[in-house]
Amino acid sequence: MNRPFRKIAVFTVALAMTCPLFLAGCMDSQQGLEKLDPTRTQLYVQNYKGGYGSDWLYAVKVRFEKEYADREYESGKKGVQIMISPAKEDGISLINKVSDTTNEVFFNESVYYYEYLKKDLLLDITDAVEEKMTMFGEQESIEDKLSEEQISYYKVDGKKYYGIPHYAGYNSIMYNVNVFDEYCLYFADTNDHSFISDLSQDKSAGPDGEYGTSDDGLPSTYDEFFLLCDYMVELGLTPIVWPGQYYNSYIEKVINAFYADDVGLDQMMLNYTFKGRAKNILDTVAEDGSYEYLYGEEGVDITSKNAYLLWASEGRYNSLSFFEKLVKNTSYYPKLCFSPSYLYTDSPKDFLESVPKGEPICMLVEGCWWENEQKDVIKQIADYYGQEYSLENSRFAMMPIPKSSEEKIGMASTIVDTHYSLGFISASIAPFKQELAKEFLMFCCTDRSLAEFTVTTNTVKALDYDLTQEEYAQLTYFGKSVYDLHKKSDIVYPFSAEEVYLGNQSALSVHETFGSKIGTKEELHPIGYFHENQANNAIDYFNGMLVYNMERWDRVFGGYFD
Amino acid sequence: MTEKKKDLLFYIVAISLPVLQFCIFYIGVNFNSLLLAFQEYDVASGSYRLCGFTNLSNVWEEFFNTFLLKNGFFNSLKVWALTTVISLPLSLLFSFFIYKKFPLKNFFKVALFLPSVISGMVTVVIYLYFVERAIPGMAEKLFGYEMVGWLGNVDTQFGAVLFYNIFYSFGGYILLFVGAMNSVDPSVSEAGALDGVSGLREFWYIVFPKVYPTFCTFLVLSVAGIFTNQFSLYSFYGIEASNNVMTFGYYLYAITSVATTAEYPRIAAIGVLMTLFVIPITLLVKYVLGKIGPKEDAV
Repeated sequence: MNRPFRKIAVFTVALAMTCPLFLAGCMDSQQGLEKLDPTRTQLYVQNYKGGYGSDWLYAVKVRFEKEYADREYESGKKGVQIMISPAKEDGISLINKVSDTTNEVFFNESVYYYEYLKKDLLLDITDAVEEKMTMFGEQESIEDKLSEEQISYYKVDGKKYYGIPHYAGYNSIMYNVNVFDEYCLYFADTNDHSFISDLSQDKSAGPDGEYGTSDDGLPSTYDEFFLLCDYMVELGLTPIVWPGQYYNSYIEKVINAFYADDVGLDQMMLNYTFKGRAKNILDTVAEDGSYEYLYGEEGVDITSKNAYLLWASEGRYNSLSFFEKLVKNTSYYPKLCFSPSYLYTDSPKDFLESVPKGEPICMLVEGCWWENEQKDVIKQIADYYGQEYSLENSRFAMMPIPKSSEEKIGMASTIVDTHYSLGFISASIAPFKQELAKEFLMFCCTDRSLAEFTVTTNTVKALDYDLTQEEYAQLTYFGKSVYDLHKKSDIVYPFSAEEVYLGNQSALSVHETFGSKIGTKEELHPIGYFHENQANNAIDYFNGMLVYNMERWDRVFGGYFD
Repeated sequence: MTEKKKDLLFYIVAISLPVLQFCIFYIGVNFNSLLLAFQEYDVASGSYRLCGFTNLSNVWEEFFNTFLLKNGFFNSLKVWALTTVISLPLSLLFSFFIYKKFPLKNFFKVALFLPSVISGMVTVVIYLYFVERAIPGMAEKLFGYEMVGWLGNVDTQFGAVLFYNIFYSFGGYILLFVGAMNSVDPSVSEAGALDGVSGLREFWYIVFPKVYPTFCTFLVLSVAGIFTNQFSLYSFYGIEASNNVMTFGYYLYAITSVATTAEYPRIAAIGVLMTLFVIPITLLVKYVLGKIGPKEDAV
């Protein structure tokens, strides 16, 4: 062999040798994580590798495999092996791959349920959802743990289930209780909105209007929230932080949460069902912020034809005004909060590290999964700065949303689950495994598994279940606050089986509903708009939202009601 | 088997895969997109049905009534004009510099090629941290001047993204320009030097005519891609780029990434409309470039 050919041959062999490495990288991670046991039947489960992690699933796997150790699904095999494949691929990208993957059971988010249905990707699991889970020692079915809104959405045509809700994702403002305690950042039980000077002083009743609850001393109105921020700045603290990389979507979800809390569950659901009477629809807001109700006290009947009126809801205006004020005051947040280099992993890390560094940041815009997502960071910080910063010793909490006015103090809390999470079985699963997969899905929804999920992740599943006192005691301080809020709040599941909604699920999803037309210019993101120019304000943005939606309504959705 | 048949077999085997790929991923995909522009999604049955020109007329109306589409359209033209006007001539200049083996040519080679060799995402991250963290940090440390990063600042973000795109484009341009310049017969350059031809004249009358076909190819391709160029915005901002920088290509990319099946026809119609707009311009540019251009024998 001459020299050039020898070189080529060596290069080719080297390339060929590296191929398996690349192929291994391309293959499902399940293949490399756990050795396949040929004596057992495998059930392949894909789990979205996001903030909730996969620890909960590994815990279920251990119990399920033990419980099913003597079952036979294939000749010559005994027992079941759950093969877990964590994947960083949400429901939007997964839709084109479900039938091509070896995975059979899926837990994912951003799953547009009816899209999957139309593509025949989901197995009918009606029997598993409706059957009482007596085989696992329970008298309830999965259906018993669903809300009415969830049943009307997941039970297709009121007959069949093809998927069940997975975890709940609530976006809001988190706060560091240790910092709040250390600096006495609580309102005193007085009428002058003053702060307590030591923790033994009586605190105000907080947004729920009741004394002796976990929200005592926290800002009960928007105005109090800003008084608190000013006080924090005065004390040399940084009030709040959010990721600059995706500041629009992070804050918009919280704007939506404020809006939902302000108007309540029934009014909020009109945005998805397009059926019912909308109240507090505003006429144009004047420059001085004054306004009148367009349809008086009575309100107006909403149908899919006039649902654009919901963009003139007083609740939207209130929440927009709140965030205009927050964004416009640059002393409230670090300047990186609008930098694309400030990643979604940076802001929680800075929030956590700010205390040991002696420059406390008091609040964080995030989702309820953030603490679970940051477990490793918290451990690193504790290892470096001291165990007083460990997960066990830290005290974070989800802040109850303040009310827009004093009159609304005591009104029930309303929270929004923004994640469109779904547990489902692939329609292409082998027939002999269908029962097994359904039973696994049921097993994941037993009270014990639900509690285990909550204890493991310190978040909640989007189902109705209770923790025992013992289980509750195992939660972190933050986990308790999430669970408490979940239990005592009305929950908005932002979907419906209405045809207009189903045909335009992404255009009507939480993060796509902030468009506005100001003059001749469309804006998609209020936060970016407020940040761009000090003169830009919530009044113009709010007035423009109705115009924007009126103009797009017929054009985009007209085909559904012409 | 005869030698000729063997050659034919080899040819078929070698060409079949690329042809198949072309058929599926170019013809198939584009045909499907074209078809989608004339269809609408029926939620009840979960399938598409023909709807004539409804999507196109809706998008046409939308184009004149919405700022977003118009803004994306003009931003795309602006980006194209600026990158082409700045990037192509500079690439030619740098290539000539390297071709003539001027001092520091190797430094320029590495500095200008490097962004093309490294993964695009890596260069985006390096640039992002440089303009968002390093420059403001240095300004504060050295001059006590507090500034916001250029990509996060609405007043500077367009320029910052433009600079990145221009810098990033050099590698590809220079690689091909230098390749084309190397095909110039050295004796022609030497003869020109003996005749006292200046560097500028050598470039214009000897070198540029050689690279002119490559230059034309780049120009025509850039025109054809005006409305699909997303300006690396997705890498910098995800789906949250502001109106200031949003190009048409980016807008299409961003809305497609979150769209559901029912929303594809509208997006396809926008694409078809832009294609109809850009086809005649591309053909015109190609025609004009073929008619004009330097002549090799006019020294």
